[in-house]
Amino acid sequence: MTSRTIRAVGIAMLALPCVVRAQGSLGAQGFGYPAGQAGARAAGTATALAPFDAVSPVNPATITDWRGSVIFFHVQPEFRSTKGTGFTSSTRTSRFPLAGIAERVSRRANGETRAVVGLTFSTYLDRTWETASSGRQQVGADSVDLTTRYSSSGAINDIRLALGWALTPKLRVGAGIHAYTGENRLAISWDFPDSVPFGDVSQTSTLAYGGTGASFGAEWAVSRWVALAAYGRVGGEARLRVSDTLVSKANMPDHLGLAAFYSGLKGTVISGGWERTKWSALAGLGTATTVPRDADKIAVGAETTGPNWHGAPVMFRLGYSHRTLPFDALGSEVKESMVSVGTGFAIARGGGFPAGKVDLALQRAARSAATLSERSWFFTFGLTITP
Amino acid sequence: MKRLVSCAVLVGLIAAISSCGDQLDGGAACPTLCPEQNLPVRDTVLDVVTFDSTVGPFPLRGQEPALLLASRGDTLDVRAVARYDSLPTTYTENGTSHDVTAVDSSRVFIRIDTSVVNYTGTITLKVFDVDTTAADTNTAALIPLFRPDRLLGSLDIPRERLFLDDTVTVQIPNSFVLAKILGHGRIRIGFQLVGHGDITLRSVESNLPAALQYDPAPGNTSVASRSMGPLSNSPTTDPLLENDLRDFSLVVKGLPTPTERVTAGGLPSYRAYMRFDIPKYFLDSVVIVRAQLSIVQRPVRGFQDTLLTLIYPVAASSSETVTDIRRAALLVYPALSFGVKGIAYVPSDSGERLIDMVQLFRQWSTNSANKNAPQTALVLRGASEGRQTGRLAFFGIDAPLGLRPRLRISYVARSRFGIP
Repeated sequence: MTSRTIRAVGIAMLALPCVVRAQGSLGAQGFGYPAGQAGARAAGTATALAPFDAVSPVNPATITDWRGSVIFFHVQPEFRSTKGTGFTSSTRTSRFPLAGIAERVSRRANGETRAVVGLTFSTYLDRTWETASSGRQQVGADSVDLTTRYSSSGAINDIRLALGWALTPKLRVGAGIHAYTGENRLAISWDFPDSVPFGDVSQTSTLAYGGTGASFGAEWAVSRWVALAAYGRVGGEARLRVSDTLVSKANMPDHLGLAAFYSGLKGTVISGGWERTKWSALAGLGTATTVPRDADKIAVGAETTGPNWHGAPVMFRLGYSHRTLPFDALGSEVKESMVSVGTGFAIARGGGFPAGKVDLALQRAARSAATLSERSWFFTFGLTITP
Repeated sequence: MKRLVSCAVLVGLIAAISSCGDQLDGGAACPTLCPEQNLPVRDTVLDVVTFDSTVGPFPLRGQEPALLLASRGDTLDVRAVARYDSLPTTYTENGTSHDVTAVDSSRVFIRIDTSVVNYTGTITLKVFDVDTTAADTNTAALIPLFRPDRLLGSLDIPRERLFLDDTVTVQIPNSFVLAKILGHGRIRIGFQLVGHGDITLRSVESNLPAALQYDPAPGNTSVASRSMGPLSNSPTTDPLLENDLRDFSLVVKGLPTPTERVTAGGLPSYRAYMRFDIPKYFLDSVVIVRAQLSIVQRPVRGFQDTLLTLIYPVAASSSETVTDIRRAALLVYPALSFGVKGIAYVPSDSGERLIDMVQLFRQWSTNSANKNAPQTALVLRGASEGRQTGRLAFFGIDAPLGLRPRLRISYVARSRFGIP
């Protein structure tokens, strides 16, 4: 088997879906965990670079960075540990948070990009977990042993079709339309060790989501060293169906974000930003007890050029972010702090591979609410190919 | 750069594959962190037994798995009959057929089930000629035939003999057998145990029925002795009954006909039939976690009322089109089907008894949309009908509220769940 074949098989395996196992967690309350919609490069800076990152479907203006055709996808395992009063649980879960394609559709006479169209598929709210526990259940007058499995898989996903336009070399704008879709497949099973007096219980429920939205964004190079980005998203109608029955309607959240980018240090860029997501628009989509909370996020990060590797620079990144998650746990706000490091390097064409780049990020998240705490390691692998 | 790319792909691959593993430690995060996933278990008690009755006796005559012979003074007298309605008139020697003109060593051979030998000292097994022209269904006509002038033979059986030998052979007159052969007649033999105290014997029926044996060619050692199993030639109008009546037990004296509304077991044995009318909601809109039939035992006094008696609750297998309750109580699934276990109690005891029947309830739920489904009925039957004297009785639907049969169920409602 040639190295070319081995690598091709490896990449193909990366693209395969796998059975996802996780647990009820602090992060996945309510409609799920907001995965952040950040590419691996942005993830390496704790999402601080997301408003300026063409891969991250945050600011549609950024896709004008593409100079041709591009395809990318990401894999993001998460290793999570949750602690509460009297219990500790840990799990691994995996998601494929981001994939997309883009194509330059117009360029100027000098070869600069004028317009790019991009299509991305990203995880918006991930609600994937599974838990198995042994305990006792009161059935009639008896307290009996049983094994309980709770599971949820699926997510609300965001499909964005965006157009980015470079009005001038210093000002780029973009707009996108969003279709939210996805399912939560939930299951509960009770297994009684003694099956004579007790009947096992297995129930499933599938929640189907639909929604729309529109996004806009701009990136303005204020000076040679400073750029600013502003972006936003307007949520359209959100619908929840169970077994083809429309159960509830609400609105998808609005987003608003501002970010700055400084590249005055040689080989280094620093970025920081703020984003508010109006998750409360989802109120009414769930039960009355689920009251989504509008959430703010701040993130700062840096990316610096390292040594060359086979003629191409290796990038190093780090970042920090803090945000509030939209869904409370045990009636308390869930806060998340995250530090991250990352790297990225270009792939030269040849050896059976097209040109492209690989981005890796390692993130450490800490969440807390009431008496509960949770720690997560995220490993994000992103592959971008420019055929 | 190739190595770098390969390393990057490898790292990503390992991470992705490792993330696909199933690791579930503890799990106590739920239900604390997934309250919308909880399923409340609800309990209720349903008065859904709408009809009950006791029918019998069982088993039907001739369908006993073994012939029971029992005697206990004036409270119990169970005898047995074996029919040999076809007697060969010839025998074959070296390919040549010869008429039977004499017989020798005529006897009746019975193999005893040594696991059910209940007596002390010595008992006498008497064999009678019980042939009669009375109708096959006329049991009463048989009883007077067990009289001295019809006695064909007898055998004293000390208890210790059955410890070493499980066969009993009773000699009968050669002249009696020969006369029947020559007259193209039939032999119908009645068995009766006589002795003191509580006596119970049971024959081994499977493949070893009571046999009529004789030597058709006395003095000719080249002709084998003949051994015939029971065979009935009547009633000719009912081949199934004809087959059943090859041999059968005959209860001359037994427990009185039960007066309790719900009774199972005894000798003769009876079955209790209970029909359930379950609200549709519990059949198609809930998941049953537990279902228990609660019945209250009432004491039965009398013969062997302190011996543990096992009865099986069994599900009716016939559809609603079978309205004959006795037939419906006969057409049942085998014991232990649907995980319904037997219950064992002392007849003289009393109190609430619980029968777990969750799998049966679920079967009823599954069948609820089927018009030809088995009726939702439970039959209580003795574990050893025709062989076991113990009888359990229970209060029926005519009893005061707290004593009636009731169904206790724990269930989870089928509902949408998981909506945050």
